[in-house]
Amino acid sequence: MVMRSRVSRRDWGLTWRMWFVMAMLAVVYLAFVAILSGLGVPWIGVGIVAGIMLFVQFFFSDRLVLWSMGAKVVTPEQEPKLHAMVDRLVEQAGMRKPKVAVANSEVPNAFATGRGPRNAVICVTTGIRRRLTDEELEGVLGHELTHVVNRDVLVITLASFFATVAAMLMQMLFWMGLFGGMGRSRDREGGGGGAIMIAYVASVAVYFIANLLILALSRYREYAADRGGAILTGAPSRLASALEKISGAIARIPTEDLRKVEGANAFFIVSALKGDSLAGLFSSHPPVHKRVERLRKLERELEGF
Amino acid sequence: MWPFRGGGNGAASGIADRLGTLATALPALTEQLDLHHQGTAGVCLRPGSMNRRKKDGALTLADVELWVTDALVWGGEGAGASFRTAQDSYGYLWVVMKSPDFAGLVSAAGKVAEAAGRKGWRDRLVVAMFPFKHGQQAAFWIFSFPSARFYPFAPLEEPQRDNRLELHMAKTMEKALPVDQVLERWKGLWGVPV
Repeated sequence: MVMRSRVSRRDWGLTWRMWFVMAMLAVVYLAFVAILSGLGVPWIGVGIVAGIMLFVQFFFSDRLVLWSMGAKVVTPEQEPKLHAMVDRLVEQAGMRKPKVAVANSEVPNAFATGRGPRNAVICVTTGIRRRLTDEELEGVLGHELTHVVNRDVLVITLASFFATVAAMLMQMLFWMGLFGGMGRSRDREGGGGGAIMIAYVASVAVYFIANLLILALSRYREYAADRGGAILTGAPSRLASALEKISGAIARIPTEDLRKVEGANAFFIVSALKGDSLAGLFSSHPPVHKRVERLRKLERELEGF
Repeated sequence: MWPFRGGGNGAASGIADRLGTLATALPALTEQLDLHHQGTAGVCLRPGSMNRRKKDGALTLADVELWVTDALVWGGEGAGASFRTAQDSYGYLWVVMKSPDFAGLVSAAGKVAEAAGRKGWRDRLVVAMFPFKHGQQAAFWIFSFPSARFYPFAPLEEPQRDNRLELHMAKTMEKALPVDQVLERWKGLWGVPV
């Protein structure tokens, strides 16, 4: 593995905040378990169901995500340029090469999925390839490969375990509250409706707090992937300019030639709009301007040495 | 300044007025954006009509050549600018004007548009393009005839374009020019004979 510079691969402030959020999650979850046990809510059964659900989702994450995006895994023969780019970065990172996929979509996007480095897939859309230069695309691939190295799918899946339990309990307790169910606690003295109420409120609170923490964690993982990817390519500005191109005003400017578009749908007055779905995709991501700011700072650090 | 030969309609001269704002904006273009005009301009006509009910056939280069000679040169409308015609790789037809005087170029483009309107070719008018240089980077102000607005276009190798420069151009000139704020309509034209 070649390190191109003396700038640390890790941003310690970021790492600290990440661990802090994970510790908060652990505290929230432990308190949740304590409350549920204290109330005699049979949460273990729900936990097992949630566990199986998440495991299945995790186990099939690669196929599920590819399928939902309509992406196809491509061979080096089909996409020599893209594969060559991934090969270079993978060698640089000293990691196992993931599968490479392309999704036929005008929305400029890229993602990594799969449960670990062994069965990871990185995918780019045709839209992002049209918009970005080779250098910028390399910056994006570096970011996605860092997600794979950091095992972010696993981290987020684990982090969401109790949030999923809370969501399931929330629904269960709601119906129980309505129909006066939950056998065990009714046998207890002073149990019944009061216990269901407390367990319900606890579930709702845990669900919301946990989701906020997971979103924060996810944003920190994005920053970490930005940094790791930028150091991998040695040029943070590539990812920065890619991010600017696929978000905000720039993403609205068309890349097709006017005459080509007229030939294809000559009789539409307003061409088929591409919409703002990117905003939705980035909701678990930090604001682009902040990411770009950090990347530019990293660029200066890299140049400074 | 120009002899107006009847038959032109109000909308067409409105378009010439809006086009004219580009000539007024020239000092700002140079001083604030470091854009230097290249002494040419082009008006682009689509060969087929956008109106399905019009049964007239596709325009040929010969048609446009004949029309340019007839309507513009003989009519005295091209005074100050020299004209040539061209056809691009998509089959679109161009009237290309050349003049060191930018105001003359802009008004010549307006006259071409008006003359095309009189000829019944209004729905064939696509864009007028005005090439500039920003350092080494080519940058165009494109006037779209359907929207009667300008938008910037800084082509790199197709399909790339310098979006940052384009956004900067649009932002700087939004008061001085009727700039199209619908970014989805900023469609570029690569490899034009202008």
